[in-house]
Amino acid sequence: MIVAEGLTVVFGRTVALASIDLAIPPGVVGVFGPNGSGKSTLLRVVAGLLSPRRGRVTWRGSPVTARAESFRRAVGYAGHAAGLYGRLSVRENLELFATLCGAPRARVEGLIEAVRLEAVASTAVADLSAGVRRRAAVARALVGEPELLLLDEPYANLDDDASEAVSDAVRHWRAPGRTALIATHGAKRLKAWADAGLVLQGGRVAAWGRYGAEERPSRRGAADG
Amino acid sequence: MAEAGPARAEAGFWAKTAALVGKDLRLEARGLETLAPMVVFCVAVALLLAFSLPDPVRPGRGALAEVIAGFLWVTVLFAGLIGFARTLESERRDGALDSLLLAPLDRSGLFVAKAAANLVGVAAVEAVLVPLFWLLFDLRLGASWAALAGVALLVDVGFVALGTLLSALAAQTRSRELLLPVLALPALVPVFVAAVELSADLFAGRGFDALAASGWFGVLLAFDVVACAVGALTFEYALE
Amino acid sequence: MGSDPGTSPPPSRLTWLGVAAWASVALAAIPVLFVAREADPALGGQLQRVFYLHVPAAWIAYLAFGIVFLASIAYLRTSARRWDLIAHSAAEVGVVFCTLVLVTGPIWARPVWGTWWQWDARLTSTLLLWLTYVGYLLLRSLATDPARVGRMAAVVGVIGFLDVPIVHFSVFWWRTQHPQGPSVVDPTRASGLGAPELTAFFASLVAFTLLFAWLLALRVRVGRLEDEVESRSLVGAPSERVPALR
Repeated sequence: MIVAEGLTVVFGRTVALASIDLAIPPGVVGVFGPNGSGKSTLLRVVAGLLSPRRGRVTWRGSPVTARAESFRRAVGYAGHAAGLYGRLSVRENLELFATLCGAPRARVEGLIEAVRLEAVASTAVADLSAGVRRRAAVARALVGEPELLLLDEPYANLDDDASEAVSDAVRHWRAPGRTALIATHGAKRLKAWADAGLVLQGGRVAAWGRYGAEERPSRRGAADG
Repeated sequence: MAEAGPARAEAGFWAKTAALVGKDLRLEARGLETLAPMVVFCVAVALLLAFSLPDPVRPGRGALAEVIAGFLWVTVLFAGLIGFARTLESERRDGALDSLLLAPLDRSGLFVAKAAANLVGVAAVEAVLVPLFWLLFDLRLGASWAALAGVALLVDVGFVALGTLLSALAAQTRSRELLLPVLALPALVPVFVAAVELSADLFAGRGFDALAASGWFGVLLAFDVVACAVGALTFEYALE
Repeated sequence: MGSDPGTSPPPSRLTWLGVAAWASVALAAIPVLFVAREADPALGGQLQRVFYLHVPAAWIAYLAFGIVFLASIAYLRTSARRWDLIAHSAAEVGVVFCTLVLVTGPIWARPVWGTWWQWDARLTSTLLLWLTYVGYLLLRSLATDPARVGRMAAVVGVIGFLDVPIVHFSVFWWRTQHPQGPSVVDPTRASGLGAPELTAFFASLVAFTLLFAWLLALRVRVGRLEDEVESRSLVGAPSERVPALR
């Protein structure tokens, strides 16, 4: 369960998130909204990389912070940028982060296959196209088998096949109790299989709800205080 | 690298740190983006400094030993600071810093790894510079090579620890690299003075025993301990 | 931070502190200028009175940088904005006092030593101290991300202060190894301070301490108000609840 209470983030003179209250249960959650609606900011705050001006976010009852090693062990984050070393190959990157996460090396090959990067695994990341880099970034976020997965625009620059590969990798990772927040401005790809959806608009929650029998989000208020 | 075990056979602190150092060295080996400019810079500075000396340079005699020692360490200091300014360059590109900040290893490992990578750079500069000085300024070290290497190691540890920490801070300002010397040079005075005094003694032909009694090793050790401890404890605040 | 500081009147305690500080400065001027006897001409004669400005200022500078150190540690541990503000304020005020030390020293030294500056241990380490905290303030003013500046500055506040004794030792030994330089006469010991001089000195020290406390409190208050102004201008009404559903 991710709980946000009065979450407010300010950059300079713009308010990126305006007093958001939310309770997100485990499952795969799509975070939708136009550019600048606060999706990336929300993900960075939940990842513990950004401290809110006001309010707080807790995950499984304790405040999120990248300072705590136990939290870092649980989180997998792929942000706007690739988060990889450009001069290292895809495989070298994944092996490095596998070592840092204490993951077995065998998982690296599995992930390379899962996101269909076998052909470019030995190519330096800087030489790859944006779409390929996205997939490598997703693989990196998954390498530590995180309990909390945060993906910022994983589908950007991806064609349908590649998008399917990313979705497959996340579905394969999905397990009871695990939570994923996936930010994307094209809701289409996620709605088919996500558990819930969150729509942000101008730093506020415009809609939030679980996909279920009645489909589509848009009803049910956020968990208000 | 124990594989296969289904339960996490987790790499320890030092294995993770070593992986980070290996990564930095591999990146450097592929581009030489930092080391090459550092080495060329220090050669150029050594040449320029030579112009300020009287013609027949005989550092073995008197005060000139101290001047030469000063030249040597000023050059190392400046070349080092140039290199340190790029400490987090590979992380800044492509947002790899975020990935690193979220990696589950003790944050002091990030400091140790970065400092170790910088140490390799400084040692490389010294490996070029000392023979160059021997060539240009007629250094006569005799049997003191080992002693000089020992002094250099003690100097480098403190220098690199403080430089790595402060470079992470300076990188987050509008003046970037410019602020690093402003912060680092006053703080590095003890290291610099000790380095000059000790190596001047060596250049002047005094033996290692004279050095050991001088108390400068105490200064160096104290500085190294403080710089490493503060670096390991506060580097994460400098990064975030 | 106070619950609603916008409507509160200026705090009277701060005002009284200011009054006390300036009153004690005025009072201290009497023993400094009239009670303390004129010093030996070898120590500058009348000019030696600058000592009553110089030494207390140095002590206060050390006190201020000590406060920066402790407040920096407290800030790193608690992330409470208050400590960051105290550290920043103490550094600013400390640099002012340290500047005073560096200016008054040469004024006295020129006629007495015949030179503005000596590479003496105490002078050199004071100059380095000044440079360190000017660097601290530069870092604060040049940082790109205002949310991180406190933590960055705190790191410098810690390392800067821990470095002080090592710097002092190294410079001290550096000088003792070069006995050709004329050694500095310590005005405290050489002049043999009597009761009138001690009165002047301690009156001056009390005045400087109060002045420092007032400046520090004033600077902290200004920082608080800046924070208040900023947070008001940013997020319209302070605690606006989001209706959250459409």
